[in-house]
Amino acid sequence: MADISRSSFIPKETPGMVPGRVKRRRTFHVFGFLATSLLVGSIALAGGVYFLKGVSESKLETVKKDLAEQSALFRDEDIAEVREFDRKIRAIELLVGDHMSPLKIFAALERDTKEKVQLVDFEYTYDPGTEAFVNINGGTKTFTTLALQERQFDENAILAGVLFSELGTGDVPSVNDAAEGEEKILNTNDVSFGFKGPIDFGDIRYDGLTPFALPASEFTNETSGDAAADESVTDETSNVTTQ
Amino acid sequence: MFRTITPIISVVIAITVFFSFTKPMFGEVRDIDTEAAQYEKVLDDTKKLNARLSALVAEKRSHPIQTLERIEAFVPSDIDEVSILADLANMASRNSLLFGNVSLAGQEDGVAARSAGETAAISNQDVTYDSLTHTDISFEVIGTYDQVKIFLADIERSLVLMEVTDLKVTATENESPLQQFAFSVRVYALPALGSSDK
Repeated sequence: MADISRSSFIPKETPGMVPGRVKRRRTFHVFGFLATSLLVGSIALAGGVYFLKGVSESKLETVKKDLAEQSALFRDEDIAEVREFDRKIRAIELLVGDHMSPLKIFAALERDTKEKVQLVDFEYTYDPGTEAFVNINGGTKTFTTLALQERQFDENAILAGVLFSELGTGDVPSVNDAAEGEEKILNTNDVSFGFKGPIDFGDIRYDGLTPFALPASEFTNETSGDAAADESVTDETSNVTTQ
Repeated sequence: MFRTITPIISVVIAITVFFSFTKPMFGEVRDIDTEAAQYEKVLDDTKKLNARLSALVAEKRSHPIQTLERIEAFVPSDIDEVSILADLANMASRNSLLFGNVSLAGQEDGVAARSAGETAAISNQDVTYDSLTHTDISFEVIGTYDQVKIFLADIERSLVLMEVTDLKVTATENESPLQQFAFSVRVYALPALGSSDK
């Protein structure tokens, strides 16, 4: 028997034959990855913004509610009460600051009017906050006395700004010379004068003190300061209305 | 081909979602935050205002009632002419003065004539003489010089503020110590805000 060549039961590679197992090459699609990332990111961002919107709206509602509560505490009556009180205090400051004491003028006249000088007319006018004015008419026997009187008034803080004027002599009527029907003027002086001018506010501003002694009072009116006298008035110099 | 189309579609969807949803919503969130910040500022100011108002009210009410009554008497909301004349007559009587020849002159076209615009202008907290109404009361008294001085002192220290605006005296022709004094005093009132129609 001749040897018959047999094929091996184990397959053997034939030259040129394609191998049965193929190694696959891995590839990475960058574009796809980016696109997917972009899509996921976009969706996540949308979700995040939506959530953020909810939080912001909630915060806004809370603030509005708090504001409404605070507004409810706000009472117009309280504002009106405080405002009126403040206005009254300001009004009082204004009026007290401009409150004058004509008594100080009287005290100054009493203190510094010479015994031989007679004051016949007195007028005080005051426009609150604007001007205080005094107008006095009087008479005396001689110009020397008048000059001394002027010097005396010059040394008085209240009367220093007031000027002598309308000086007259000789034809000053006395009671006996008054014609029938004419007003009788009680004036036996030979020299007449006027004494007028503005008074400085600061000199006669009311300070709660009276410039002379007051008798014990049953008054119910308020006394805003010490009523003790700074000076007493003596009859010797009190010539405001005497003959 | 599928691999190419899918990423393109993904990018298109991503861009669409961003511009159609995310970006507008982000703008809304910013607006809401801005509004919330404004409200917070207002809330803060309101809290401070309420605290300040409460403090002022408490301070005002801490004053004794007598003090508040005196303040009200000093500058009332309106002038009670009858009361003031009674007070003057009483003061004159206490000083043994004869009191008479009374005349009153109210302020012309005071608060009642103010227009709403003028009232609004006056309604600020600055108080001037324009804010006040007044009445001038003229009268004469007869008495001695010393009696009148005490009467004048009473007027000056009266709780109801009386400002002497005019005082005249002329020496009499006889030897009597009694003199006639002509007074004019001014009393004030501070009308409450919003009472322009009184």
